[in-house]
Amino acid sequence: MEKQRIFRSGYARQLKEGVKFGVNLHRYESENFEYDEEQTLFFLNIDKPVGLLDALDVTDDFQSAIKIYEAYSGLEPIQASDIRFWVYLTHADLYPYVKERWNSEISTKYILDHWFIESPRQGNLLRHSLSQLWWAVHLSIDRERKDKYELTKILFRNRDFPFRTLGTYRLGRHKEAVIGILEFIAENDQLFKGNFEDKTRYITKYLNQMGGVKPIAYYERGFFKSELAKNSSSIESV
Amino acid sequence: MQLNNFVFPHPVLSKYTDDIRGSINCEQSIIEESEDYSISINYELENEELLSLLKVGKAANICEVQCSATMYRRLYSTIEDEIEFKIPRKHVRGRVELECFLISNNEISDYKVDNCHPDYTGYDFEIEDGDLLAYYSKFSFNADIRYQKLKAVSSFLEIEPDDVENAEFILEEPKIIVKLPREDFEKYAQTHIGRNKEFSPIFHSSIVFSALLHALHNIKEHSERTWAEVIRARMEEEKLSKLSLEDKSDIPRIAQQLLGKPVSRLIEGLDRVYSNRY
Repeated sequence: MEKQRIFRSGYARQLKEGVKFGVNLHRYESENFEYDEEQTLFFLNIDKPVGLLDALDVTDDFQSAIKIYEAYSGLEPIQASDIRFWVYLTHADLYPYVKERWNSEISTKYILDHWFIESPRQGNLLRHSLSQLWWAVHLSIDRERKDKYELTKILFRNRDFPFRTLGTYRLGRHKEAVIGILEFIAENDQLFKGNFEDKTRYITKYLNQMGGVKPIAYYERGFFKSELAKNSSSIESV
Repeated sequence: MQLNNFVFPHPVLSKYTDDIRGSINCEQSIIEESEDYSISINYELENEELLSLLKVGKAANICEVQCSATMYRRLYSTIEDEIEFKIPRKHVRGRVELECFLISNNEISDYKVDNCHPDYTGYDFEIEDGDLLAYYSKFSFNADIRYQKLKAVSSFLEIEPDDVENAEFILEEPKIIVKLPREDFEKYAQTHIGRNKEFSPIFHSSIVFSALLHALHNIKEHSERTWAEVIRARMEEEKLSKLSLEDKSDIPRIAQQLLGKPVSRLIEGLDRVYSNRY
């Protein structure tokens, strides 16, 4: 099986600088992105998945996220935060998907936001067009459920929830908190029928603030569900 | 946690508040192993009520570990005054933050502490499971830094070719990058030049020294970069500990200490080259 490749860090940096200085922008208008294959390395112990590009759906981030997660299910967290890997995928193996999915007017900021990662930090990994999909699944998958992606589906109800609030808060690093929040939403569907974005912003902000005075990682999912249950009327009034 | 910005509804022992009288400290060690980071923490607490809560198992010493790059967040707990645990290397990248607390691991009604601030005197408090009772401290390490190889220039600087007219120094990356014009790099990369030990004092005193001076003058703007953390870790060394990165006049001395006196080594190296030839 073919091994997965990644860019050399110097080359990824050159590509980014080319965009920052406006020299390379025209390259992102092409159907295929030409890159120097000699500036790639093998990614340790990771095989290149077969048929991934064809399996992705530009109209369905949830399904695409699952496909990417399952294709790269063998990634260790340290590998999933490797900028070189994600920049390579957006420029090489999955360039056609990224180009079609993110097809607004080409600008420096737009390309930097969707094709590159400034540094391996939580907020940046959840902004990049591909790493955000993998990490959102990783944070929400519950292998104890019959459908391990049942809660991931709730997370993907809108883009704000995984990529601008819960996924980017320190709260999102604690699996039990994420599971607890998503389970509460699943079990109180009526409560979240309207104003989903505002309500999820409210509850994640509320629980994240609690992390300022309590050691969040101490608590299991039941605690988060019970805290939200206590605040049901406040959630309803959002 | 930002304890100095918050007032708890019950007294909390810490260095940042005067809620409770008593000393509190923790000592930690971080050992790099092949597969893990091995962490040991010794909790030191002087307050009778809090120690008795620990003894009967109503309180616990904890350490919360977080890593932004890998979204890692775990809690390690003990009712003893020391704890050891391992963090797998494959689960962390970059800065790893650790914070130590004493928490209640039960509900405690009528919680009362002697030797507390007059604002709290005479009152009982309702403590919930997980409430903070004491704060030890926060510390961190960088999983990208090989601490036993800190003195190697390669721990914070790399030289690479680029389409530039002059050498350039890039600080916006995990390592300081020295970009050389391609033609120059090709010559540098030759075994009899770049890998020639006789010439390393020349490279250190010219290319590396210049890049390091530039980096040190701009370290404040790049404090989160790995190279900046490597330099800050080196500042703990005896010969550097009395110098300050905040004082611009110290920077030339800091750069020379970090590189092991590159100017002296240059002169010695040139002397050796001359002696070997003539």
